Amino acid sequence: MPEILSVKSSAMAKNDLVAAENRAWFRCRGMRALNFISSPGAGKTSLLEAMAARLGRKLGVITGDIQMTFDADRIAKAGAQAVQIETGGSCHLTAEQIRKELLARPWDGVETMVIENIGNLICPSTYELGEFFKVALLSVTEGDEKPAKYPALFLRAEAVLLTKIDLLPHVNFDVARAERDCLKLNADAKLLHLSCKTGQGLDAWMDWLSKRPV
Amino acid sequence: MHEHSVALSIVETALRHAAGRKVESLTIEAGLFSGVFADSLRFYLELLFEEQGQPIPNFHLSSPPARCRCECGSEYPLSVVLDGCPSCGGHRRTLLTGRDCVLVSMEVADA
Repeated sequence: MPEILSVKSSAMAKNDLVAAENRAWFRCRGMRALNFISSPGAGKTSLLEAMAARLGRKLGVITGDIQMTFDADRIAKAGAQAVQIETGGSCHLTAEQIRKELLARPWDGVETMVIENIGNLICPSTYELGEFFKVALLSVTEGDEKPAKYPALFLRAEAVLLTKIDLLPHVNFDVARAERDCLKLNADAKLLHLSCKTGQGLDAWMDWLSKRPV
Repeated sequence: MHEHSVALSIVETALRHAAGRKVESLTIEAGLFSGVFADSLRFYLELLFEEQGQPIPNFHLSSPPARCRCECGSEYPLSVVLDGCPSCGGHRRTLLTGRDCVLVSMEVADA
């Protein structure tokens, strides 16, 4: 007779353990830590450039891509401390990859650390990296049905930024529907409209970020 | 695609618990908000057991409804992500289960 073993182990258990260590690392240094998640091309890097222009070296960025270091180059040029992780094919960052980068450099003077995840609405959602909260970026060119289609992310995102809002007159994007679905998944989500091109919403975003308790 | 890393973690855990005995079956629950697609997970699980030179066990994969607690006090199962509370229609809820992909139990052959 086969023996039945009760296991009850989350597939994320090992990653979550390292994420908890990263979280403690951030807390000890009084850094706020965020995880930016969106599809490719939603404007994560553009927002980080705009944030770098305001925060300078007080902003640290760990940015992930399957390959190439364009993003870290852009963000560093805009004034922040930035490092690139090239995952070589993996579709999400892991807590272990973040730990290595946290320990690899001094991050002197960093008050806000943004982890810019791989552009992907599915895989990064469930991997805790040690951040205090997740921010979802959804560009209006992508379609208003995305929150309903990708609930794992929009359930977990504490803030949802509707980006490229200046393009709204040119696309069929029902803001009310997107926002209604976001709130059905997370009734407390902070919803903001943003355009890095015109600067609309940047003050409101920076203000919310600075006041969000950590 | 992250089902590969999820499968890797499940296989590691299963082989550790089996401690050398043959794994006959795995019972796995992929939560409604776990972001895990069962067919893709099954594909990688088979691949990984094969790579380890292990016989492929039976997989009992399910995606059970998430358990929610509404602010009105009622607890209910949720299987359609945008649905509200069946008692009050509200969406302000705490998710009790449904975030995780869990290896619930496994059968191993007698030593």
